[in-house]
Amino acid sequence: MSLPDGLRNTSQAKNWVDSLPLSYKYSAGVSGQRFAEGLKQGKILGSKCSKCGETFLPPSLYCPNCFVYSSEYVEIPPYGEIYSFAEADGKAIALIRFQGVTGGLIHVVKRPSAGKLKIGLRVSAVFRPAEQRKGDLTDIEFFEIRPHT
Amino acid sequence: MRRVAVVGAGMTLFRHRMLETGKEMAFEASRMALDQAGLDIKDVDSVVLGSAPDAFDGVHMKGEYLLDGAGGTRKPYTRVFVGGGTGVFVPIAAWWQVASGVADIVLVVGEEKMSPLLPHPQYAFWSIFDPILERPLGVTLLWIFSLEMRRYMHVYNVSEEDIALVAVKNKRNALDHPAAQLAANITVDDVLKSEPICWPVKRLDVSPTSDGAAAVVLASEDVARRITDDPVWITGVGWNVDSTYWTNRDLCYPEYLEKAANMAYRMAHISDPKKEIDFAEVYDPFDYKELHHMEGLQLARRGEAPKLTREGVTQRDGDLPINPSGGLLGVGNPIAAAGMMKIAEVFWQLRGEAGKRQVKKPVRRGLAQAWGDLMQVGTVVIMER
Amino acid sequence: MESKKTLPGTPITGAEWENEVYSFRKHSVQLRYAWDAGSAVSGFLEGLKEGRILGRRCNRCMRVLVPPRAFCERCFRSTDEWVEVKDTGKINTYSVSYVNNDASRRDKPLIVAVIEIDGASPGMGFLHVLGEVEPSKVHVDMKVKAVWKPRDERVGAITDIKYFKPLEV
Ligand SMILES: [Zn+2]
Ligand SMILES: [Zn+2]
Repeated sequence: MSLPDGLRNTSQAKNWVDSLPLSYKYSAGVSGQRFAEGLKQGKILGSKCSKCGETFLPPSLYCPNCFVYSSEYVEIPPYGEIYSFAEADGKAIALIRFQGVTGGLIHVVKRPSAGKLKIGLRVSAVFRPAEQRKGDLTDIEFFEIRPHT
Repeated sequence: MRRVAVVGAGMTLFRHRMLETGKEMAFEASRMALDQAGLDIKDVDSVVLGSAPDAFDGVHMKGEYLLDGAGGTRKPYTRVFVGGGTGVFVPIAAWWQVASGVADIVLVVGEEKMSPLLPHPQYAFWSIFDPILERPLGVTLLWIFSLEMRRYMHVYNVSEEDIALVAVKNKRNALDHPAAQLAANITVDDVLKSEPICWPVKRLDVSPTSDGAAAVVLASEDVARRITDDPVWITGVGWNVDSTYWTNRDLCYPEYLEKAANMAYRMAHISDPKKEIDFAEVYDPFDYKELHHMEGLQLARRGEAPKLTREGVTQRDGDLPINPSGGLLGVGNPIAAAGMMKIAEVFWQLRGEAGKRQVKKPVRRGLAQAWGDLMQVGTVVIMER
Repeated sequence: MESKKTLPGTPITGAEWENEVYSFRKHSVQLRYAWDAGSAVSGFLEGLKEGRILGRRCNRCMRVLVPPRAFCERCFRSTDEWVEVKDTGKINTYSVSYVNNDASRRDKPLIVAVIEIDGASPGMGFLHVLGEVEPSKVHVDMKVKAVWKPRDERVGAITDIKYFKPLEV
């Protein structure tokens, strides 16, 4: 296909610059709301499916395996293990997994004073003081390496 | 081609804002549809999801984002999109799979979460217009609909009163719908006196923006006969899309819809739709659209739909009930879910499960239709007992 | 369906939304684009800068297409030549807008119209706004004429036409 006559001069080709500024306000959802309320109380909540027995973190309204409503929210002890980590801007970010739980949390890990971060290190959540908590993941200030691991 | 049945339907409440995330709404509607069909997610061969512009959620891979809530994880999964026509296109895309033999059971999900966008969901529609020739003028979605409404009124000499009758009927019908967002007993005068938004369109001529989800399950004949005594058959599907140059088109008659309808009528062996269709759920984001679409579907002659409405023909106890659910004007308009709500309504009506919404005359054959993009898409599904 | 007392879903009221009774996340994106106008619309914009409205003719269906395009969507072939059309036309349909694109109210209503351009094929037109006229005086089929920005203010944009106004007889 040829260009229409008179448009072979590419200096005539135009473009149009504009923007699309979009702002959003997202609700946390039913399970997200429970998760947020848990964090505020210094708890990590997961959801449990009675059909397959699996526990999920973050919690979900439904079991992604069985596609049925989750049967309950359960408190997950705040002790996990570094599944993988990355370091950027002087900070270490890790995917932290918890025993017997599907999923996990992405969070900041405080570097140990001696030694290096390693996959498999055991970590625990350090919550902010109750009055500073807002009901989101930053209510956990960071994860720290548990001693004797 | 194999016969395709609808074997279950489900939906959430339709509301201006919901706590549920899009995934959670998709799950709730899907779970309800599977429960009605007595099926487990393991029985589902394939999933088709419909959702409208990504700009509402601001998640620009909405199909994948909603995937696990629609039960599509590790299954053949597709998201389809034809603007506002999407809701009735999702079951068409699922029908292909069952009719062709690719799948025996398909879960069909329509989801929309419009509330996150600030300051108003309406703003997302700006992104559907031509960035060079239309957006610099400050165009809104309401402009194009009011332009179409004005042209329709001019060509057929239709009054604002006649058009308002549709809003009155649909909002009243919605009083009997458990999901309804804007059910109300209003008068023609209320509509005429409501705040002008984009004249001739006034506040009560328009459906709301909504959050919601709806789902159905399609099955092959073998499966349907095994799991239910009461399958509803999809006997005709049609879809058609006209040029995006909407300012070059005849705005008073939706030719693309006529073509979509004729495609579905041919398949369903219908030669006189006005006599052979018992009731219809036609797309009514604005009240005039119900009239416009009745004509495009040839359920009324051109310019005749206002008269049929005035005479009560389109009431639930009339000869040709239109939007017994309460439509988008009454139940709400979570775009893709709204079209799916119409599919679910035809299913429930044909099974006699519509409760207080059940149309008076016995019904054997119903039609659901949706419409969208730049006033250019027609999607049609015909269902029978 | 009727056997179910209530349908699933947890509505949020306006007050709950405003007072943030639930947990919410806010997020903004500022997307910027430079859209290529393409061959036909570039020519159209160049014409507007010169105070002319240009269309493209398809020599198979003989339609003069406005806005112009590089190909005829009906014949599905390249269009053949530029045609200068008039800067007058008639109103195909019109409406009075009280809202902006974010649904906020306008200070002053705006009359918008689809204008069929003289010299283009019947029904061919584009979207624009009207000026120098009261909403109550506007009617379908009314003859209108483009009011251009002064030459030195024109940049090659649809807004080089300020608005269309009724054509005096
Ligand atoms: Zn499970
Ligand atoms: Zn042509």
